[in-house]
Amino acid sequence: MNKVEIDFEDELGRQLGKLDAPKGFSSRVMEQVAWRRSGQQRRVQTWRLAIAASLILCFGGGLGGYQVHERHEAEDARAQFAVAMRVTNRSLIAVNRGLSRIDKTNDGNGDSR
Amino acid sequence: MRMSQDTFRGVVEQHQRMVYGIAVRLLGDPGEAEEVAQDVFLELYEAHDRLENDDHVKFWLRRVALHRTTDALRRRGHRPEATAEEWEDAKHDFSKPVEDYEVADRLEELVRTLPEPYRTAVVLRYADEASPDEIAAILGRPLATVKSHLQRGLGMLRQKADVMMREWAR
Repeated sequence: MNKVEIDFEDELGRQLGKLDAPKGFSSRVMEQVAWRRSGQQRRVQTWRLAIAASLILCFGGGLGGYQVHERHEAEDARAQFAVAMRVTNRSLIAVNRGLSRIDKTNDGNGDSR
Repeated sequence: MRMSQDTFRGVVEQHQRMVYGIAVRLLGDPGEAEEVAQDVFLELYEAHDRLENDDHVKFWLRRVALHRTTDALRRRGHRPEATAEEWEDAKHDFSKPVEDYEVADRLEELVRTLPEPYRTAVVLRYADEASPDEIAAILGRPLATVKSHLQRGLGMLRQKADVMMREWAR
């Protein structure tokens, strides 16, 4: 590299020295950072609320579902009990009729003696 | 690298000249350059946890400033780059009187019109005082390529600057 080139390099470096950023640049950046941070915080809060609402819905839905299931089981049990009672009732009636017939037979035999 | 808001402001103040300087030298529009520089620092705010130390921050800022400036030039619908030969043959208007343009303004204008990749290499070397090694790392190019770009860019500028000085001397 000859002297002319070196001089030109020096001159170029001198003329293209670093430029100052516009006045108040860092404050404007910090304002944007603060605005962005508040936006992030808002987003985080929104997400938290959304998650909490989803959990409540899931839990509420689960509880509601469980209650419906329980009610159905209770109704099934009641229906089974009613069927069992009807069967028992019929059986008892049949037994009663049988006993009545035996009693009548025994009474008839006693009369003839 | 964790930073409080005050530390971050310090980093902005320390590097704002470098970031703004790269953007304005390549874009030529102070308003657009400020927008780009602000975006670079906002990106830094998001990324600073991943950066290890001050040197890493400086390297990262230079690289991102270059990328964002290139994006801005693309958005602007920058005309296709002139080749080095076309640029050397192009007539640059040096006829205006010296009072209208300072030497630095003329040189900056010439640098801005240099074809890529000479322009980026010259801006980083002479406006930002980055070493050829640093430029090679920032641009991800071999050192020999960067040195050759610098030499070629410098030669092209010197040629035009000679014409410019002759025009002024008349």
